[in-house]
Amino acid sequence: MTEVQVSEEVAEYTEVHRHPEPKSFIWKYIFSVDHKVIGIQYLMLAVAAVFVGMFLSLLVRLRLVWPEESIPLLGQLFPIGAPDGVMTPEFYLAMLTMHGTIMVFMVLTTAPQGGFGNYFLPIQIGAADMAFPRLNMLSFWSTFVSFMLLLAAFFVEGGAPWSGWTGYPPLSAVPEATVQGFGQDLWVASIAVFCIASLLGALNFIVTTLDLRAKGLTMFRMPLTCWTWFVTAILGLLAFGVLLAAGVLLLMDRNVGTSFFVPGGLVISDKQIDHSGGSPILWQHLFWFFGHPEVYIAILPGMGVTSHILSTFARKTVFGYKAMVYAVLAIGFLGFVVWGHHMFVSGMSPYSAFVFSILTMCIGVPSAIKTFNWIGTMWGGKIRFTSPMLFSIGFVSLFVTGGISGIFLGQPTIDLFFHDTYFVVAHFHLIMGVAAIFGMFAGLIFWFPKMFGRMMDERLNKIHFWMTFVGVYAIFGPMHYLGMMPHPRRYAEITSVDYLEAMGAADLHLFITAAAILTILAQFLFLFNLIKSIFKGKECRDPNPWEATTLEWTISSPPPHDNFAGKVPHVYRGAYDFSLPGTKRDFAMQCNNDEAVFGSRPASSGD
Amino acid sequence: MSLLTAVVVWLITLAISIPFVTRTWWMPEAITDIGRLIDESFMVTLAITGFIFVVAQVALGYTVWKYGRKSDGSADYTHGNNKLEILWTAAASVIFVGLTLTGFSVWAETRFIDRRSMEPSEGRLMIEVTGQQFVWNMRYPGEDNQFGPTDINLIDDAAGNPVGLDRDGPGGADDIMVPEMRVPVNREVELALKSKDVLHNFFVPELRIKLDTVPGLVGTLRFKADKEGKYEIVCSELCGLGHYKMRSFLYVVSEEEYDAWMEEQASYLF
Amino acid sequence: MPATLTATETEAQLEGGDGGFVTLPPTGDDGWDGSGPDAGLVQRYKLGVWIGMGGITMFFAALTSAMVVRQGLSGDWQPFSLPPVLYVSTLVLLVSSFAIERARREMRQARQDGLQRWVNVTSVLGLAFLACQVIGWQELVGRGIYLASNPANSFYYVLTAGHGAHLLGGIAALGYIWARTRSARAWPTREAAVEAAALYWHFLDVLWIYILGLLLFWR
Repeated sequence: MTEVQVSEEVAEYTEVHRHPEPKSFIWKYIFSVDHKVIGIQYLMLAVAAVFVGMFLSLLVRLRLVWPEESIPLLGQLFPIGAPDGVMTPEFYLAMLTMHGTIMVFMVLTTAPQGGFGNYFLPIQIGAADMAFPRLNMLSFWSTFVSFMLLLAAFFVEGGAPWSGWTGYPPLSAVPEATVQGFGQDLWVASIAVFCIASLLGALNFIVTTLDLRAKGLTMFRMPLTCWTWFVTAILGLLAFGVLLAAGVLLLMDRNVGTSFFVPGGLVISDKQIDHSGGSPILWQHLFWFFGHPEVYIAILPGMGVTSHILSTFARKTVFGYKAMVYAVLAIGFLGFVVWGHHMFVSGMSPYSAFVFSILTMCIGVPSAIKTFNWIGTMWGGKIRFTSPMLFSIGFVSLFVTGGISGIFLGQPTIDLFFHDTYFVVAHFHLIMGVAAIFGMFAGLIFWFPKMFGRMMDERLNKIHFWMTFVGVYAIFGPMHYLGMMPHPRRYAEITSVDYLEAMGAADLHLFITAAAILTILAQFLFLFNLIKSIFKGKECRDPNPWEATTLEWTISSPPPHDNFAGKVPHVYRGAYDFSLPGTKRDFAMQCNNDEAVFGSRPASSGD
Repeated sequence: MSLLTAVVVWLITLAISIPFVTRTWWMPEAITDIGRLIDESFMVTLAITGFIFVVAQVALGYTVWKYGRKSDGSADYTHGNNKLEILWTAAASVIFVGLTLTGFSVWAETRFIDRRSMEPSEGRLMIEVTGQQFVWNMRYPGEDNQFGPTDINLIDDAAGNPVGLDRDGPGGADDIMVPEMRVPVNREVELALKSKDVLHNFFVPELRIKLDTVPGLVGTLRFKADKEGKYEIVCSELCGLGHYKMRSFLYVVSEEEYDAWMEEQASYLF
Repeated sequence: MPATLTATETEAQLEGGDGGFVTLPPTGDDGWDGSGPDAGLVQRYKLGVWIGMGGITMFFAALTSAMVVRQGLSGDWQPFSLPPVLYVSTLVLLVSSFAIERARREMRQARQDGLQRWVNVTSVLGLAFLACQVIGWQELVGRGIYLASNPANSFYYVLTAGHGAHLLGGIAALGYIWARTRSARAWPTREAAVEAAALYWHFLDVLWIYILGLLLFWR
């Protein structure tokens, strides 16, 4: 190879590496390889999905309160599912299934990781883009296809699937059991495509974190957000492959006549089903081997954002940074060995419950460490009550409440009573749903000025916070009491169970539905604020309006195409150097060396 | 703002806790020894976690309140406290793992049952429960204490043979098929749980136990009810559009009443 | 609240020599670790393949555990003898690994022709492997061993098809390399692409040996 060739390579390589800014609309905003555009695409997809999912939950709540009454407009909207405005039980189950699937996959998995992670991981580690920008684009567009496949299930004959978001066979595998066809196939196909998209995304995140960190940014100087995105990516890499395999097998059981999950000797309406020897429990093992890590895929980025924001607005360094990192790693690892706690009453070997139960309880330990450290971070701080801070405080509160009910469900004996009741619904909504969403609200408001160069309306944000915070407790708090009755999950009506009527389940349901409607209204306030602020929000020329320390706050808002405008950042300190003694400002940015932070004085402390 | 945040967090904590203290919505009374053991386990957990819940939320509110008012000076500079961290970790481990260990003996008693469930033993009442969309089928072995053979080809819901019982097979003539369950008080009962189509779950809240009925498998549950009454059996695993109405009853009755009922059922057979 | 830092102050922070930034020189430094033009990229691509292997391994691990469980659970498992053509396909795939190694060596010695030739040889061997797999399926169908008639068959088809799909991905990567080698010049990601493709190809080899072993010894 000659000298000339080499330098040509370099020139071109640099060019490819910081892919030039595309000029045409399609390449700039649609099929973009820029991680910031892709991040926003993921966020837009999640916002669209979350409103669909929320609408479905509204239908679910309405049906529970008015099972027989006609609801205006519904008859016109859903002539088959809700003839004359009265929702059928199968329509109720379909809404329930699609609500769960859309929320878990299209919102909780996409926004925290694909959205915020995509946008801010490269910037926070000082990189120009993700490690594989084209792969990144492919991940997003596969996710988009997956979302479309899922939505298409609403519009095929037989309607959306109604075997629950867990899709337990034989209900999901034997068409005769649900009198249903293509919707369930689309559901499985959508999840399979989603798995592939997430695997590609996970690969990209891991390589980016390991390989593209700026000089001086050791792993233990990374912001905790980066740590959680990194661990989440590892979880995704190991979990989604398993779900993909399970999905392929389920699709074959449905369409090709194999018997992986469907046992022999099934008789439905006096008709013998032509399968033999499969195991429904096998699906549950595969599904929950994915399903439990999925819980952490949803919540870990929220934990990272919360740690980040609590520290920033308490003007105090994270209490026990290393303990936080180890706790995240421990939660990630334990997440893979506890799937059996979803199956205490499934008929699996009762002996394995011992192991699963002990390991499950062990997750309480790193979770307790995190809670302790969050409060420790604020303790002795100087708290600024911005709306991201409020959402992060709300996150901690919800995390505690949702975590505590897990202590009941993790014990097999108590789970015997609570399994598949509203107690479980309350538990996972609080911790995996609402807490994670609070993390997203916090992150969105916190990073909004960086993404759009404008501020969100703080007053509306605070109103939205208070309505949502009280609202979600009003929705999911009473569900614990329904669980005490005990109210089984996924019941389209309560009329056929005497004790539910006797104990006043109807009143509680009415209260919950009222709270849900108010909370949903508050979300429209947020949507309004979001759209208004993107176009008309107060301009924010200050690159660092929150006086934060990490690298994204050193660059202009919105960031230039290659993030650091042709420069390469160098990191000198940990991510949370707030209120360092002997400095004139109460924060030291990661890219400031001691001389810059302490002036001429020699460094007395610092990481 | 600091006080508001703290007060809201505290009020929510209070609001959630009150119904658990006043028992406004509570579990129905347990009717088995195991049920009462499970309740004990539950109460211990409730006490401990309730304490943690309240302390954590109060601490959160207090921290926010105390350090949200600070208008002068600067925040502390500390990287944490390893001693506190280790202490906290150790305490959490002991509590959480300890809790689950205490429940294990009850679990063993409930679920470690040898698998020869179809062999009726002395004094124990055997009932076969077969879930189907959306009814429960109970089968009693009858006077000979032996279940007759079943054949999938004989299944005919309309003719009243939902499990395909072969009346001509050995021990099949006197099997009793009913849609509800009736057991004598203070007698040990063993259920063989089956399903002929999809997953269901046999759950009687007063017994405190539930188990999926899995097609292709036979699950086993044992209980000894000591309080007469009528209790509801509710399906607790999504089984299709009629899941919510898949309900039956468990009647716990006196020995005499049970015998009389048995005789009556047997009389329909011939 | 302490005084908010003004935009210009922050700007000064960024511009100043103590701001923690170095301006990227126009050429010579790749902007990442300064260890030569391609070393970083090769390392990154290979790391990507290693991580990808993790995900693929989990996919096949799930299928394996499903197979073990499914076989242990029921009495309907009917083992069958593998089609002999599998040994031919195994041989073909092993040889193809040597071919891709050869391609890699050609590239390291900057012989574009050789690189192209051996990449092509590898692709053809890969296609030959897939052809053998199809012949294997044909033989099974001829013996009445259909996809759905027995779980043992189902797992055979799923595992071989799953591996074949991943191999198709490998052939696509080789096709990309072949297309780029048609112009005489080197291209910026050449080393990285070839190294990554070679690593992935060896992985497919190992994966196939594993699947073959599973099908042979876990019947």
